[in-house]
Amino acid sequence: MKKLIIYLFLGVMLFAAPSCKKFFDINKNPNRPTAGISEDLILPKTIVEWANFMPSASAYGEEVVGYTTNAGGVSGWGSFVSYAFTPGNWNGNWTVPFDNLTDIKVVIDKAKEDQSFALLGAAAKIMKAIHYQFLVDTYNNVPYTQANLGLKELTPSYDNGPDIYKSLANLLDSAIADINGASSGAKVLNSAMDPLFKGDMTKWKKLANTIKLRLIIRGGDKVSFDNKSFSSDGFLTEDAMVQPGYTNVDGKLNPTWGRVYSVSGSAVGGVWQQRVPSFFTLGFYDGNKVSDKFRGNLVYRSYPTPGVNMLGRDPGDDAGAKVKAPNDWFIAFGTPSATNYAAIGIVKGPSAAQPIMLASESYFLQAEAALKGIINGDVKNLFNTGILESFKYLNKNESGANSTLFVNSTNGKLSATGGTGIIAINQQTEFDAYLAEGQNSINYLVNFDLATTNEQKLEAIITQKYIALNNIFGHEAWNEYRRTKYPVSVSPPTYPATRYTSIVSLQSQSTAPDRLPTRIQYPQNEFIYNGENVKQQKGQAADGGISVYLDKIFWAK
Amino acid sequence: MSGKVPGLQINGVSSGVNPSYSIVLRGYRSITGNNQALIVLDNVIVPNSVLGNLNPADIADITTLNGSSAAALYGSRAANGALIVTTKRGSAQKPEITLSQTISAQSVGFYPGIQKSYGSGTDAYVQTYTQYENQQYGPKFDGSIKELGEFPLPGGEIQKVPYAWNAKEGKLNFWKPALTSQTDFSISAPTGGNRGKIYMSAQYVDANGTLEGDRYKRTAVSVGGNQDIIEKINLDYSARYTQNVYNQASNLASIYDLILNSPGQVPLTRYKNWQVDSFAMPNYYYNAYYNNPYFLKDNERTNTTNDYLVSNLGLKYSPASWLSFIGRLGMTSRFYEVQNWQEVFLYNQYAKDHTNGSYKKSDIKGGYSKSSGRESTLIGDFIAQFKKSNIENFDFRANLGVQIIQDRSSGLAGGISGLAVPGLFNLSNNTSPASASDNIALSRTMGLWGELYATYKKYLTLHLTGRRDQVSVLDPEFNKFNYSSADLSFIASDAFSSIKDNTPINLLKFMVSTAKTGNVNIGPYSTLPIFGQASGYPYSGNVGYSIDNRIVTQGLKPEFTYSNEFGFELEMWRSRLRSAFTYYTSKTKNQTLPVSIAPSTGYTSLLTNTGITSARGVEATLGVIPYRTHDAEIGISVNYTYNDNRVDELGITDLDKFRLFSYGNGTGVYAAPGKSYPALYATAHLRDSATGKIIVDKTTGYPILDPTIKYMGRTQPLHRVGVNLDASYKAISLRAVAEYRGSYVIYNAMGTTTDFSGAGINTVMFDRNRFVFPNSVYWDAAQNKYVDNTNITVAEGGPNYWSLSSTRTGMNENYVTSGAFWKLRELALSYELPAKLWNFKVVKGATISLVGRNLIMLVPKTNVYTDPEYSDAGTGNYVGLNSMSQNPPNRYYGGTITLKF
Repeated sequence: MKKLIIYLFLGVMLFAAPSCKKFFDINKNPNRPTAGISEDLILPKTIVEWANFMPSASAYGEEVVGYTTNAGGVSGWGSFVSYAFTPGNWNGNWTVPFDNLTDIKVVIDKAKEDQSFALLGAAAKIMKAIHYQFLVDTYNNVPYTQANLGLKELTPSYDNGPDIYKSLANLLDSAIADINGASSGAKVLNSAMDPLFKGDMTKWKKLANTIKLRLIIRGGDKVSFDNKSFSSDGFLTEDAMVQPGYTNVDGKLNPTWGRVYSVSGSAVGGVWQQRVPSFFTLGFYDGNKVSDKFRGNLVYRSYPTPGVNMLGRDPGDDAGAKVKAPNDWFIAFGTPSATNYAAIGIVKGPSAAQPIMLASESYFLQAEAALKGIINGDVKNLFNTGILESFKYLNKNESGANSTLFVNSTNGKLSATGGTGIIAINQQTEFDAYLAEGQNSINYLVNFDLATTNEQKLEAIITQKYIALNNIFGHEAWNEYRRTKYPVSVSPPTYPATRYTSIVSLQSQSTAPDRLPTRIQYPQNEFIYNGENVKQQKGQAADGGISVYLDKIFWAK
Repeated sequence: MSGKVPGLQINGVSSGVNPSYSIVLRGYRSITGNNQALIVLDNVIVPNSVLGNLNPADIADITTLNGSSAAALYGSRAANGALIVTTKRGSAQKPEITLSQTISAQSVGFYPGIQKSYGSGTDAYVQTYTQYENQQYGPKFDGSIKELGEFPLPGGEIQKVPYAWNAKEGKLNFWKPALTSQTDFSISAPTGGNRGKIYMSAQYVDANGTLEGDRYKRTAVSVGGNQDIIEKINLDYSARYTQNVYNQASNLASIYDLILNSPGQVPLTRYKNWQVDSFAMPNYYYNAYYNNPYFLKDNERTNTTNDYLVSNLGLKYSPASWLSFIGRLGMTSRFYEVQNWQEVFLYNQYAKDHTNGSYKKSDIKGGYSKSSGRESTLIGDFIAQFKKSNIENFDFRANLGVQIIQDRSSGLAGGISGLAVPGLFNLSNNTSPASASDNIALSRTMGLWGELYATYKKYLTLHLTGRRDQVSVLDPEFNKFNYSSADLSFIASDAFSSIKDNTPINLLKFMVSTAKTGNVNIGPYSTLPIFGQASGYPYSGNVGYSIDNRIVTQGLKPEFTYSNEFGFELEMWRSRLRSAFTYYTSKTKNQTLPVSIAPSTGYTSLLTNTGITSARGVEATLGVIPYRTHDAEIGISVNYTYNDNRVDELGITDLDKFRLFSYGNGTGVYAAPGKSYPALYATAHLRDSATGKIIVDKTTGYPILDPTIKYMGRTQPLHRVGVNLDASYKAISLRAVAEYRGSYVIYNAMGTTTDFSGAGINTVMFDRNRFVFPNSVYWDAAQNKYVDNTNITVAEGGPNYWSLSSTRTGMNENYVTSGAFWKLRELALSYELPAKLWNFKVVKGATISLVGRNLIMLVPKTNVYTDPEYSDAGTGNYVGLNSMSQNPPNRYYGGTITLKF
């Protein structure tokens, strides 16, 4: 009897014991992949994520540089008008790039161990350079060598801006080398993997050169670059547009369109719905500083009288400062709505492509480089092409071709049909007319030959870049202003006297001599979770940390 | 059961036709893990919701087991204790049939504090009547007839109502009394050859809710029995099937918001028929900014169906008197289907053109979603039981067991936003592509356990348990863990006969125990970061993936709780007096916490073991039967619980508190080292650190918001008292249960709405006049210090103080109240009809009883909001917050007639 019991029991235990391993090996996630995602499925996400981020990146610059300003009828502006940025402001400028860099790193690491991914790795390297230049331009010193290491480094230390810039230039060189040296068996990028250039590696190399050019120009003599030469592929000659297949479905909207309307057609609240252009910016179209009727009508629906205000001014009941719903930059004939839009200008449509860099920016960079002798080229020609490309971009319709609308050659107003004096839209015609418009013929900001000194030439280049980037890349305009102090802005601001000539807020709390801020604060999360390292960034604030009024990005003037 | 068992806290965390319950023993120890007690029904682990669907008449016994004892038997998921419920198996004598019918009514038992003096208006300084306003900062009620509404009907008619508090038709009448009918039937009988017994029951419940249109139905059948098959082999079996169906309004918080934003003179209940009555239609509704709550109640609804199947089969073979083997298999399955819909509503052009507000300008496009799935748990046991008695004054009992548990679930959900054809609630009725999600989960646990009872001379018992668990949810090298417990009990009254002989004591027992329990609180598939499609992918057939933002530390381990307790039981005067006392302490280490990390690492959260919590408490009961005769008996028992949970440390540098849940401004529930757990933090007034008085602005008299959130207190009661009264006289019996909870705080989110709207009673504290902020100071630059404020009044005593975030609603500490309450949980009176009334031989007995539940609730004067038991967290850990998602609490009263055949 006892033996029976013992055998029975041992039998049960034996049964229970070794089948253990397989019995418990059921923890593989059936709902989501945990590994084995081919990197060619990750690269496209990194490109689209950056494109989707562009409007938010632009927004923080738009508010400081005059592209947008507070509208009438809304209150509670806070740091928008006071410049009193805290760690709680604009955290997205930190978290989105670092989040995307994790996926970029996955692709770069794969290319290191598997040569067939060389082309993908090169594209990822170029994206990495774009991300980090943005981070340094926004925050100066940021984690670089110790960033994105996950468990291996939970509190990354910060690297200096100039060192990062130098490293990025080398990164771009190695990306170009990877592309040129890729074996014939390497995976070729197709339009699914590459929503930016659809696999055209020459365009990637041009983009790499253009970013490197931007690094060199911005870094100036503060960075000891290994070389300042560029591959023979040249620079961007077309707008770099990302098009994964944006369409009018939740989560898949063109991000610029998504700032205005949602899929169901209801207007998106906040931001542009509560902003109007500033007098300063408008002055570059309506003749107060420069006359530009064509681009004026392409950018502002109610040109020459969009809603307009000066930063920090409370306009009370002034109807001129009220937003023209849904916002002043949405071009449409008649009552604007999600289904009634002209598909031209800045907000082109829900399925339009999203630019991450404009051809005009590339040409203006080249113009400045030729001016400074970094590259060979005809400065005036590059300058004019830059302006021409801006007209071309604004004239593009939702599918990226030249718009089939018409424009009145006298007052620049857009029209759906042609007629006497109403011609088909053409950027060359518009540009030629621009050179002679109003007082432009004696203005060196428009007619380059009139600029006599190098300073005037630089001012012309940067000012035209400012106009070309209007409400598309506000952060780049803000970068260029801090680097060159162009377009010219006076200080202290007064209303109405300096409304066309100053970007400074009337309620500025900045203690800098020019009453402007110099940068934004490091984000809240760094202070909470990486406190030791962020506190090592010393500055001129009362507590020894970074001052948003006095501590400049290393390349700033 | 709440209030009857010390240490057991049952919270009704929501109201409505299918309320849910949180069942917790000895407080909250795990910061992110499950703190709920395990429910075991007939040896099958069942989800918490099954308890709410169980007919109390079917229950034979409920035992509560605290952590260590429960974990030994049921594994780590019983680490928080277990409620062991067994259902009836029938009687072995003669067959008995019972039929009973219950009718009960429920109505609102506690309304929030509403002011009855002021009506529609929003202007500061000069109280002006605005006839389409939602805010109630207008002039004082004066009885005059005033127009009501934004604009006249197209035909020109406009409402006119007396400007006075409308008691009959006003907003407090929105909730109507509701009725529940419950029919129960059961048969209990011996089975073949008198070697077994069987019990079968059926139940049907039909109820509606205080929100008109809510409906709940439940059907349940069960069978359970016990049978000696052949000599030495016994079979125990049970099976129960329950189906519940309920149809409810889904957007409770918004409905409550619309109700509160109805001024007091408005005859709200007249607007019930919004499809037909002009003034009730959303197009012409009087309120420019807040819609008709009857419309919202009818326009957004949810339909849920649940099927539960719980069954178990057990075989016991006793080959010898000292040996038995038990094999058991149990299964729980839950199948569910939930549909949510919002119907289309298009506002007409007349309304769009005339309205001042915005809701009439936005057409409601509608939507529909459906989710369905099933969850099942399989549990198998094989146990060997040994018994040896009388070996040199020792008795031994030992149990050895193997237990395998498998949890499986799968769910599918789909939704569309925007309905093409109104009234058709189906995923094919879409205007844009449907979203879909799909999840399955499978996890297993195996436990090997043993326990030993060694008793010396029948009065000293040593009990040892040990268990080894292996789980599938942790990485293979770390997925086995052991835990054990030991306890000693000594029945002094048996050991020393002098106790029983010379004192009135008939039982004196001491116990002491120590235990280590493990608890795994991550779900399956959590140890590796996942990839998901992102940035809008897929686009036109192309995919794009991104890695998730959470990383998991290598070698994640379970949480371990180390607990000790001691206690005694004392009974005197032939058990006319019974008392028990337990003191316990415990520490839980290795909490599994998702810690936030710097985004520059590429990730935002790290799941790791860190943090220590501790608990200590007292559970005491005292019961007396002061009066007992042949015909009558009165018994009173009181139980008291003291439970203090704390977070000792979080173990993360630079982190001073871990957020369990918070609103955007930081108010919420946290785990903070050194503080009670869970801890409530809220935005607060800026105070002078020297005196603690609130600082007001010298010119405006208004207070200022403190930029940091402040600790408010613990959200779990420190003290609990339950009082039970049982009295009987001949055929009449009376039972009453009352419960007290105290020394804790809750945050009433509703307060921001009662103050913003001007409906709250607090807003008339100073009769809307300018007032000096009580207990305040202001900064006097001349004296360079804070000076007591005796004469600076607020600039305005109406909406400019009460309704604004910068002065009042943004300081959430205004809505933190004590959670203390006394509740009369139950009052039941029953009468067994005398047999001679019955002429039918068939009917053997009849009982009539009347029952009332939650009849009285007493709360401190500051709580003008709702029932402190309500929790937005449901069965989650972030208790301490309630909101308008819970309707006002109800009281229940009804009667039952039971017939026995």
